[in-house]
Amino acid sequence: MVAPGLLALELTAAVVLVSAWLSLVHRRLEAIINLYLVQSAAVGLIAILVAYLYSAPDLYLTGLLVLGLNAIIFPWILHRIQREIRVPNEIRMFVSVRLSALAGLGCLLLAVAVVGPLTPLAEIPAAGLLPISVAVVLMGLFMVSTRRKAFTQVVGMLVMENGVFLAGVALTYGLGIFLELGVAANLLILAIVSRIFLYRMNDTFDTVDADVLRSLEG
Amino acid sequence: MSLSSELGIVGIIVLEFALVLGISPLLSGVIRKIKSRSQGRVGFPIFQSYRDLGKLFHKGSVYAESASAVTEWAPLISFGALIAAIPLVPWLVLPSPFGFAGDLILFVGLLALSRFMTALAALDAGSTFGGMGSTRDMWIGALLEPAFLLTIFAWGAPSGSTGASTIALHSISLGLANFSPPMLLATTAFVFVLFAETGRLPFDNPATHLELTMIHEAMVLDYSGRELLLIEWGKAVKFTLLTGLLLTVLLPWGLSLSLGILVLLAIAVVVAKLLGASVIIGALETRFAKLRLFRVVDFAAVATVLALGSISLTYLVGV
Repeated sequence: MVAPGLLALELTAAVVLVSAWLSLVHRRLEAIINLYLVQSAAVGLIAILVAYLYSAPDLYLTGLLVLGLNAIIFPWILHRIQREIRVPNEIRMFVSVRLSALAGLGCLLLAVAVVGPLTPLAEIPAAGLLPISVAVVLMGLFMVSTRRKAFTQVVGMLVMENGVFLAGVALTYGLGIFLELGVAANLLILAIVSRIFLYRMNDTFDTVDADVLRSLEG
Repeated sequence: MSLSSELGIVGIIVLEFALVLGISPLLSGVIRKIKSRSQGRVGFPIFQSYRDLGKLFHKGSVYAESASAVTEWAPLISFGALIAAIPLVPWLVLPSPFGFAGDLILFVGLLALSRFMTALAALDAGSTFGGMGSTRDMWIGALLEPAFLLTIFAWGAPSGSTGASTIALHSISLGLANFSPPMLLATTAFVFVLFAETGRLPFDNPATHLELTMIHEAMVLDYSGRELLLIEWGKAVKFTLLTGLLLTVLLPWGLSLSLGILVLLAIAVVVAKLLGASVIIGALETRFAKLRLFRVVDFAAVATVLALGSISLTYLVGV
């Protein structure tokens, strides 16, 4: 019989995985932002769970940080930007939904194949945690590389960041230094988010389609 | 085996049939009520479905001139297949006393038979709507069947069986560990399948009569009287079957493990679980808009891939 705490940990990690997967295949931007919200909340919950299970008090702070920043502020900013610069709700991607779904499976299998064997070596609380977090990073990467609009690419990056954070918590729970790293990563993402404002400010292209950036304009 | 326990088993089976057939119209009434409320309407009373079915029972049947005998017997077979699927799921007692008759693969097969018969009946009269509806219905069925079967394999993988009773008993023995990552993935996939199989919103709008979008309604246009009763009731039973299967695997607690007085308690628990699930599914359905028909492929792909992910997590990570 496994301890209920570890079960909760794994199940919450699975919520992160499923929401990343669904945001890979969803066609509406609003829904993807909401999925990101759910995902971040789950990641924050995991940090707090790990803090509780392994009595690592500094992780409480990190968890709250994630809950506040990733689960509340970022989705709010994203929704706001979407409203203000009127990003069309429909996602445009280079690959079809079917292929994206399959790519999600590919990410999962790759993560399981590559990281799965490492799990017994590192002292990781729950067996599924590390493969799932790497899979989430890969899914985020896939989102960044297959979406047309800079806006969705940013969401992809945020998903990646959630995955990295999850892997960090899984590997180095209780390490104080991770707190700083987490904050730094968050700031980095915040900088990327604010880049979207640039699109709005220079307004040259009248679009956030990243493809436009390939052509030179006088 | 003593006579009394045999009587008990027969009693249980009769009780299960009565429960599933009896509660199905109520569940569809509950879902309709929730959808109406979410749209700001008062909606039908939740027992309206019983009245509708009763009204159909007293009406005579009208057949199209071009209809053959298929129109008469296809709805019977379609409904019969669903009835045959009822004892494959443990509703009140674990292990299900009639579970030896077949596993969940048979369950999928019976549902497919029912779907096929409804489609055949719709084609019989030769009207355009019937052809259109049945084509779409078979298409969706063919797309979602792999996801359905893979979900069942994903559920069965930890216990190594595709029998509903074995899976449910394994879930109980796992306790809280039943809520594992593979279970979450498989259940998400199954929710897609459930919505498709029962013609719920992203796939088919059960309330529509707009010729461009309807699927199920297009198939039943040629029917009246008791044949229509069987088809409509069958649709409700199908929903109960799939929801019951989901609940058996996900939340098998509350089922009686013996043929005693606990069965009465199990009835109350099962009714409560089914009603709760209907409320959740109804609320979920209001979140969807009708999908363009060719987007259904995407839904099917997502469901299939999620089920595959669940299986691979079970076997490769062993979580």
